[in-house]
Amino acid sequence: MTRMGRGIDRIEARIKVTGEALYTADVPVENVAYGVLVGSTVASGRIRRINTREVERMPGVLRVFTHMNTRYPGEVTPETVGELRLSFSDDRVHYVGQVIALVAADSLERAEEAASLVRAEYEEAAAVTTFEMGLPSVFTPTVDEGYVEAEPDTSRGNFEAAYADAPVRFEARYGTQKYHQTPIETYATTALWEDNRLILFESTQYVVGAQTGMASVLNMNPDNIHVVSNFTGGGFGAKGHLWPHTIRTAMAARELGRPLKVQLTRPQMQTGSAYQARTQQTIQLGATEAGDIRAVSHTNISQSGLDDRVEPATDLTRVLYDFPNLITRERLVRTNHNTGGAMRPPGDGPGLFALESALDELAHQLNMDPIELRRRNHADRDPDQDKPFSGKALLECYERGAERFGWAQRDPVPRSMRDGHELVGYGMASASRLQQAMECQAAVTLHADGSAVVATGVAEIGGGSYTTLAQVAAEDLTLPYNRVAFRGGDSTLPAASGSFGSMVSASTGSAVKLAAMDARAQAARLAVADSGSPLFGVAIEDVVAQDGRLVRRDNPNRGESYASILTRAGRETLRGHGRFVPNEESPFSSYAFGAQFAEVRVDELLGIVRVSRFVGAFAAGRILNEKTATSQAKGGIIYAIGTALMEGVHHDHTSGRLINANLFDYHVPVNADIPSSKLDVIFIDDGDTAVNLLGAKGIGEIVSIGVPAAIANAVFHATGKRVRELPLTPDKLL
Amino acid sequence: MAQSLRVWINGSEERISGVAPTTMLLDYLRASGRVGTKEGCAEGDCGACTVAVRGERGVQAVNSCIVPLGAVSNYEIVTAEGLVRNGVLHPVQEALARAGGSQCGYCTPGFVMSLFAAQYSGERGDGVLEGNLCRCTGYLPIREAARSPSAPAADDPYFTSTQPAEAADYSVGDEHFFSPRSLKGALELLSLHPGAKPIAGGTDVGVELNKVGRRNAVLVSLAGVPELRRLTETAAGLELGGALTLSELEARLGGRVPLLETMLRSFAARQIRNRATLAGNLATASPVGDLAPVLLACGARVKLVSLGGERTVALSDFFTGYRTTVQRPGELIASVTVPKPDAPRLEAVYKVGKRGADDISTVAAAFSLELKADKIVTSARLAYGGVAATPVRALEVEQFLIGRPWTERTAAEAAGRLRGLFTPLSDLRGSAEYRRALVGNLFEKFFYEHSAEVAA
Repeated sequence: MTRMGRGIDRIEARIKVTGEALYTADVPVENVAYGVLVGSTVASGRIRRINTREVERMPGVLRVFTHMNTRYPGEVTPETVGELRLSFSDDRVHYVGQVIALVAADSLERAEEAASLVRAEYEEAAAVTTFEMGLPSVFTPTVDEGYVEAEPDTSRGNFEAAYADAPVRFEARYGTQKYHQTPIETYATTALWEDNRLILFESTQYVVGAQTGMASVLNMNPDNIHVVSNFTGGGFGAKGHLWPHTIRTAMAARELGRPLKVQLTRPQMQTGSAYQARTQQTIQLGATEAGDIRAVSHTNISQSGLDDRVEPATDLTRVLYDFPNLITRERLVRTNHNTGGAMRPPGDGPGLFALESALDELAHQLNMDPIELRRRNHADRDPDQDKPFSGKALLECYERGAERFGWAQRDPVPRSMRDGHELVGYGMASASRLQQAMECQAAVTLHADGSAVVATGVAEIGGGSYTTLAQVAAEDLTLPYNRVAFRGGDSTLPAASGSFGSMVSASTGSAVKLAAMDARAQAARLAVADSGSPLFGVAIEDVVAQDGRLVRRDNPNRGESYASILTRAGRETLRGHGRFVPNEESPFSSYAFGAQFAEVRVDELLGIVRVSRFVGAFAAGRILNEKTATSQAKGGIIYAIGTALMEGVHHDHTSGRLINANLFDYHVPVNADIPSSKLDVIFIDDGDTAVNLLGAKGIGEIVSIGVPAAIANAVFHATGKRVRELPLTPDKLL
Repeated sequence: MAQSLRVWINGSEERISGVAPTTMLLDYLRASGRVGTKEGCAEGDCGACTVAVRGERGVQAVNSCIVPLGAVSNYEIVTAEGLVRNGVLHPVQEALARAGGSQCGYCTPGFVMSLFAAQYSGERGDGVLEGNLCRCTGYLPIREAARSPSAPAADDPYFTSTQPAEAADYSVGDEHFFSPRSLKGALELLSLHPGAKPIAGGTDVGVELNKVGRRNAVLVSLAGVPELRRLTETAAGLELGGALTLSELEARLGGRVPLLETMLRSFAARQIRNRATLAGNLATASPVGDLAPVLLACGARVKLVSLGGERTVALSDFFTGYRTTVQRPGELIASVTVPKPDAPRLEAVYKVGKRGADDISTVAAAFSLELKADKIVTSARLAYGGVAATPVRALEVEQFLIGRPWTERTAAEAAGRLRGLFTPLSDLRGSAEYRRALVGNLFEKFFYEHSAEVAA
């Protein structure tokens, strides 16, 4: 009886529908003070003066924290902190919204009132407020100690010669916007100190990162920092790192001698955490008439903020197809914005919008079916690493996705399909995502009453990790799922991976599996050594788990439950430990693959695009929980419909101020934007047993990748108009 | 002035004092430990803070982040925590959990309360969900939950009092929230407190209080003024009280003003329509307005009252410029009268927004034509929002249409003229060029969609 793959309701579903689930700002803390952040109103310059004394005299105000009373005792680590040059470090201002003051008061109302009266005088300097302004100074980044981690240029073969020789050539430029993750929970932090020990309630995707990052900046022993994040109200990359306000809040709580709570306002979210950087990408394709793509160049210019950071849009171009002659280049423009970061799906999201749009354009130019063009250029091995893939079922994704979608009904001629005054279009795109992994640990404890508890400090951000990780242990122990409890979201538990990079199931899942195996092995050793056990004297390798019992392999009737083993041994509990270490020397290259299919309807007179049908087919190893995975996949597709049709952060050209830092003007999809029940997700088992112990790959990101290109390609098919800059707003189609 | 305020929260009576009347219901709930209700935006845009209230207007879902405490005196309030009885989930909670309608879960209590309140209004379908944002699920499982029908139990345990009492005044220090029970009372309060602000649903005032601050606020609620809440049908037309909420209008118009009813269905979202009023929408004089273009196309008139008397102006004369109107200090919009047409008219309303629902229009348009039997246009009203400093009629093109046959050629020529008529601005919702194109294209769409009706 398998316990995996089944559609199991979330462990925490009940407390989420009743409002009992505690998010960071909900945790009651005695005697807590409230902090409100004040952001810079200028994009560049120095702070001359802040009226802190005046504000500190207001009723209820405890203190105003600024760069004048801040000194960071330790080092900033880019792995865990989102900005290297922290706010409050000095008097310099680098972007609008940079935190220049933290006002602490005895009530939220008083803190808000006081914060609204903070006035700073600036010595303003010239600022580069938009991508366009920075474009003339585009430059090649160099690998640094911060967020530029990879060499900007790569090549294989001889692009120039192959492109020159190609009988069919294509070149175009594509653009994606600056996007904000917009989780519904805004970032919250509550810090309190017990002697020299910091307890930090934090909205985070990475409990261990919050702990170690804070330890480094505060120059503390990580053991003296206890991070708690019971539930995180969505992250999508926004909460993958620590941000300056969290660090200053922790320090301020110590200085005040009182717990301090800070929650960002919705407008502060756009400058208080990461975003996906704007990109401008140029793609050149050289092909034969038959559709063999011989030469590809992909240049990405991404918009950088305070710290240099590449939005790595060219990575998949090296891997996804068998392009023999290839150049990829990453370039940057610096602007007076905060530092960018990861947003679902990072790099590959913008990157595949460009590449998959370009392939569609080439297919049209060649008069070839877009799927056929992709099949022809399929990569059987990873051409970048020159390794076999541990599992790849992309061709099956095309096939089954196309079949479910009804791709065969597509008349290839643009503007050929209509329904009344609506033009109808079909489009598709490939998807893929590297399988990342991180060292992590977990514990599985068997109890004498026959239950088990899984413990690992993973953050539950919505993906269903608490549920699927409990399932992993239940399966290994062959216990009923409802006998396995889960503890997570706490740094005192074994260190889990971050809940990002589509890695929880694979990394933390592997650690849980190892911990369960360890617990099972320990129980087996107790049994075989115990003369009172039916397993006494059996060779350890002949003991297997079945139906919640340990039994003889050759005679499943001979065996006993974990409960009886523990009870007889006089043990209340038995704790198994699992430590997962990624295999850096793997002979394989591991990716998930997928194919996205969109049907759009475009109102000819109004230019409005509606996604009327969608099918996503994904080969991502073994699916641990069909129900949570399907829900996550559909949600990810719809998240990317927002990217495709409506989203984008805008700044005023002159002042650099944010124009739409609210949910009224930063549009995200609502229920009415979603195809009425015609959204299908197909999971294809690629039989990958090499990727990790579970054969599972992450799906959190791949489901959003390729969606904007599939929609843009469908819009071209519907209208004959090619939109190369997202979002696909109606004004671009009239 | 009452120094305390009475509410029932999840079945328990509570007397509140010392908390400013402009404190938002959400902030009060959370500060008093009821943290199941979440803040997502503090502007009524995301629905995370949705709670159900029962007051003089029945059971409603509202955005508690923009409802001042003063506005819920003597109300019953139910939050997601209050739905569990004896450890048993409420059917809407059960449905959401089963459907997988909760991922990160932060928006979940808000959805729960939208679904819960819909049981009382009898509202079914996706409209129930338009005011709640979710970033994880893509709405599909929530939609599934919304479709599992249920109705309040006969012995409803959630609302306890038999008949809700009237809202009462409430003051703390210099902050006053007046809930007058007559029009005269309201007008006198406004004249007595020159800085006082009238508040009806508070969907704008609430946002402003959150953003700008709330010191020494004096608010005069119009929500309980009976003279402003009437809906009267006369020979001349339908007189709609200014303090009627948009949800009430939806429920009570009963097909008598189809244009308005169509627009109401796509106006913001349920939580907003439960609070926002007709007069409020006109008084704020948004250049988009949504309801204003419709009422312009209906030829509506506005009745203004003050202590000095009353006057009536055509809605087309009401707006004087960007966010300004003929309304004088101390004057209130008493009602809007939609005249009864002398003959059947060809009418349609269009809302072009940046997303499928829950947004103001990029361009809103309402058209109303009267045709003679031989398809000659005898009267025309073409009104737009989002194309000028105020909601506006296309008077020149209306004149052009009169006397012309209702043909594709006429429609195309009118559309051409319409495209050049206004000088809209570019903003996040659309460029000036796009808006100009829409002004004409919407009229063409009107022709295509309604030419068959005329032929018939």
